[in-house]
Amino acid sequence: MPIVTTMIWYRVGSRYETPGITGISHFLEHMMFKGTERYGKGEIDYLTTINGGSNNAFTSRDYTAYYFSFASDRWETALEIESDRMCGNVFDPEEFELERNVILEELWMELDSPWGALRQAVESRAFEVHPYRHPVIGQRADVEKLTLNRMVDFYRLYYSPANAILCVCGDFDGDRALRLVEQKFGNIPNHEIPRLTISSEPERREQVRLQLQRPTNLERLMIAFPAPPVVDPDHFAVEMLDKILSDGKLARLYRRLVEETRVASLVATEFDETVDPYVFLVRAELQPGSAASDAEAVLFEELLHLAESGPSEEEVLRARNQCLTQLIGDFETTIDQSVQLGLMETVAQFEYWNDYPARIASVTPSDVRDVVRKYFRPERATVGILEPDPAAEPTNAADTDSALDGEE
Amino acid sequence: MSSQPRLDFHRSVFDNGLTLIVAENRRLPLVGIQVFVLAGVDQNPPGQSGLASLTARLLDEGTQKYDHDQISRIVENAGTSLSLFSQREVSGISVQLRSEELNTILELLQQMLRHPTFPEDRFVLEREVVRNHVRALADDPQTVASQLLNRLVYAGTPLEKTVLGIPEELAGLTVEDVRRFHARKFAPGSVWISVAGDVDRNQIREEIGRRFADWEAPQFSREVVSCFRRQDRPLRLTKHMDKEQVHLLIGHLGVERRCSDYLALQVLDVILGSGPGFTSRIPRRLRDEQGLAYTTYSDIASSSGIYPGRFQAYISTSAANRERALEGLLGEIREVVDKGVEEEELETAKRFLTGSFVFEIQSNYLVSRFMFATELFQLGSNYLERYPELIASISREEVNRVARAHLDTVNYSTVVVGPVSEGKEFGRDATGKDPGR
Repeated sequence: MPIVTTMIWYRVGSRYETPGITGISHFLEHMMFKGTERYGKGEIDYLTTINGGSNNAFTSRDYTAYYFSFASDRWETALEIESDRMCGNVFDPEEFELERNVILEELWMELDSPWGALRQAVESRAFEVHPYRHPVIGQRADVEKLTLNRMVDFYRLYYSPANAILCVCGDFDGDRALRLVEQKFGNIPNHEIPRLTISSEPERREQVRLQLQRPTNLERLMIAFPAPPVVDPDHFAVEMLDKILSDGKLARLYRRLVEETRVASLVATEFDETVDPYVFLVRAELQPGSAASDAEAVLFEELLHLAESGPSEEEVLRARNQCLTQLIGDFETTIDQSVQLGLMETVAQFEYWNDYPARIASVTPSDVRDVVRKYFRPERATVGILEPDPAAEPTNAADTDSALDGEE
Repeated sequence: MSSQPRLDFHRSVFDNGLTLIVAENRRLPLVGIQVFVLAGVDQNPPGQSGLASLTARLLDEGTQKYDHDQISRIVENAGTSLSLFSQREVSGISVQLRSEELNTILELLQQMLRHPTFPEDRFVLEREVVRNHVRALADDPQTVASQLLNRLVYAGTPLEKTVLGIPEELAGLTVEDVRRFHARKFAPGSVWISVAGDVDRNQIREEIGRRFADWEAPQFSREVVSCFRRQDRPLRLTKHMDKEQVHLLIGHLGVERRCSDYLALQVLDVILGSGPGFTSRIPRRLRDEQGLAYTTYSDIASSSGIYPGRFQAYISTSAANRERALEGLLGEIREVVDKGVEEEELETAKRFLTGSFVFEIQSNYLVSRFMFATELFQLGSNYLERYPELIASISREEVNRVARAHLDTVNYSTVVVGPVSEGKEFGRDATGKDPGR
């Protein structure tokens, strides 16, 4: 396919933020499309458009990444733009204020969503000291009072060749690309990034519980367990557990919660690759007549079974095939490739993928049992429940109480 | 030019009408299969919204040869991913598999499409799951707004109701309804199997022929929905939801995919509301220049299909910005209709569309969808190659003409969802002025 994706990753995200400036990495990501010394406002998008490309960016806990995809006869435009905005981004005060409004709208959108609100609440309580407790989008008060000067300092500190990983995937000449990268980025002044002292999270000894009320139609449950970082050897067994718990109709939680007890209509798990220990999330949407506590009881019972007996050989074999087939699909397009390689080089090393099949294949049922015993203990969990506000009326899109007014 | 994309694909139509489309791509040991059945929301009988979707969702819950547990084992033990979908005019099955699993999966697909048993207990379970998904979706104001707009735009047709079904109708569906729907709507002449990836096209044609060529569907009947009507007066629907943001959606009936203005409307979309980044007028002015929203866009071409799609312009913003945002959206629509587009915008949009067309075929999944659309709408097997010149030939006058012909600045629907008072108050409050001018 004659396509090239250029994706640049900076090692900066909510992990690098302190109280008072939460959300700064994400806000900065937005400002990186506002123009540079060389490209005026709107020109980055304009160049993307006339060249028939696409661009976007994303910020997470451990990274901020930007990408362009272009047809392969014009992909080099991406290098021009990325090298320029690595050191020459322009921060206009008016643009900064306008973008603050956009980000506040994004924040409202997240908090208006039942899952968005519950996630922020659970994540903030799952950590006591680690910066992963801050939402990536930031606390509202911090976003409202962030100053432009603070952002410029932050940009100068973290946007530097020594803190960036450039990932180019697709149909291009490797030697020429390396020469070009040297030419475009070689002269950018480099500085070492000061090492952050990030407090490690003390081991939790008592379960944390929280409850939100919102005007929703059903109850939602989200439980966070501590999870190993990507460099931890336990990572692979937890990845397999993720499949065993929730991938497909044979998965344990689907079987127990949706099919057998019928307390939930949806159950999902989330497990990410992170620099520091983060969380493994389990979430469920409850059927009417069932309470989140019913689903919680079933979940802990299932985890107890796994901690006692481990998964079956068949479950492990199935999870292995799911991981390995997904691996091939995860490298299908040039954007997929850039995400997988860039992410892994940012949080660990891209060679992770070379070892991945063998590491996954080596996970045994007892490895899975052991990680359940280690991480998935009730006292280490953060349990969040979002329940319908009893004062609010249920919402139904198709009901008849919407007001139709077409008389004019 | 190295960026000129090419896609070789091959079509076979069996005697019973089933169509197979194949594109070989041996780069990865993966195959993407999409089965499309012309039995979407459009085929739901009156009072039975959700039936097409429920039927599709139950295809993997039991067949003559396999029970639901065996099906899950066939799929999941090999790491295959299989999903079932239902949309406005098609339902179907989407599979991604390793090439070595191909014959096993083709056998499974034959069972699912031709011999599903729809066991009663699985029906009851799935119906309850869907009913709860419907409740969950009703918590999302953007989804609610979109559903309400369909109610206005497609009033009087099956498309006015949601894909999953409205609660009271869903509650009344029986397993017999599902079995009858399958018998009537799943027929070889309504099925397209689109395959992209690591396959041999002759071999797969043989395997598909062996499993599907003798398929007959004597009870087949397909309804063609034809009572679409552009509204002849402005309509408004408001829905209170206790949220911070208000969601505004403006729209009306759009065009069919085979409409001769389709490509000019694609160009218009890039200029008005769905270009990359913030280059289009609506996101540039309302988000980038005024900071009103995180999400705002418009489009008309992308929803067109067998039936007319809809023109829609959307913005979500804090309640205090409601009037400004609504006026902003309307202002942009009026401006493009009244004053047309600039020559430079036109050239930029055309360059974008021709340059980015290659992204339409960058994965097996996208290739199989592209091939289906090409065949269904008879765009010609060289459509990909012809696309740049088709776009290049579109003039400014043509874009201005299609904007005037297909965007209506008087008779349109407005949906407002969020912290608003319902009914008359909104009528006075937001549109005391004439909404059309």
